[in-house]
Amino acid sequence: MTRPLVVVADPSAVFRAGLRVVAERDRAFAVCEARDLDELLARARVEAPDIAVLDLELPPVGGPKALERLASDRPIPTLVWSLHPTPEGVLAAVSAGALGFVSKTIGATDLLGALRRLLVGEPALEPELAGMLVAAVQRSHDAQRARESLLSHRERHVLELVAAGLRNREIAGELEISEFTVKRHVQNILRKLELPSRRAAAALHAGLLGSAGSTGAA
Amino acid sequence: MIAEKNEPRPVIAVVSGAPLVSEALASALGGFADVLALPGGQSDLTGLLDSIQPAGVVTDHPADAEAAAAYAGAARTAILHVRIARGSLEVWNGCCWEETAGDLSPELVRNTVLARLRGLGSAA
Repeated sequence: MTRPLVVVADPSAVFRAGLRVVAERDRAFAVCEARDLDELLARARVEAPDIAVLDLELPPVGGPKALERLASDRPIPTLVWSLHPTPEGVLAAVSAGALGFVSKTIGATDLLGALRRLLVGEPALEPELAGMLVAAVQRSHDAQRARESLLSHRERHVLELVAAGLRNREIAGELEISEFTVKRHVQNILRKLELPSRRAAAALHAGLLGSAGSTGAA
Repeated sequence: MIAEKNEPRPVIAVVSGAPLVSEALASALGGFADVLALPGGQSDLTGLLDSIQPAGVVTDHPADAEAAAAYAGAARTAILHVRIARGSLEVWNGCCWEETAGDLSPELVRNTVLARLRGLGSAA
């Protein structure tokens, strides 16, 4: 029976070797390696791994962006790991689509357990990292609430309608104000929230802080 | 220093807080040495090493590297500092750390330990 294939993408040859030694000794997984994003994408295309393990700092763009590229190319259940996990790092990885996050100080048994969970599509998050994730999400919500508190009652109402996908003319009709006034409200919202576009404002309102700053044009 | 026929294999202590680092290095060094994996960040590592008397110490933590260097001051021992974040390897030469040429890998660690043990053995 063919063993599931893990691609481990990490700039550190020591950690790649560590995972290989543990996985192959257990005979549960076969392992292939990548040092950076380009090698990861090439491995994913050629060898079609079943799961991926990505370093949070994978060169040249970091694990979360690498994960997005991998997902657009060939989606694979992915575990992100880091030697020094932070709440923001865990949140960024999970927001980018990681199914799990572990510290690189994880023991062999726990790592194999996490890989097995990924293989059946279950999330894998160490308890202390789950706490970090909750804290990071909470901070994001707090920041969102703080930013939205800068808006007037009318601007908040306009933002809700923008987030609901209404155009300026439709918002004007809904609120019984001119389209020009709606446009001015939207400009004020973007300025106060320091956002590049109404799509970003809508995403922020929906709680999608991770992608709010990079969404499309106004 | 390197085990010939009927000679005992050298003991190499691998000191790390990351089990996967210990696994990788133990696998690389296991061909010629008995590897003793010790958790990193212990108090009085120098005393522990004194009691074990390894022929070499490989560690990935700066404080443990300094403790190992203190132990080596009184013993002919290969001391290596694996600098994971920088991707480099340093060797204690008796008075300071020297960076080894090459990208950090388990094989580089193995080769450097072997070369250091041979050097210490021939100088004895």
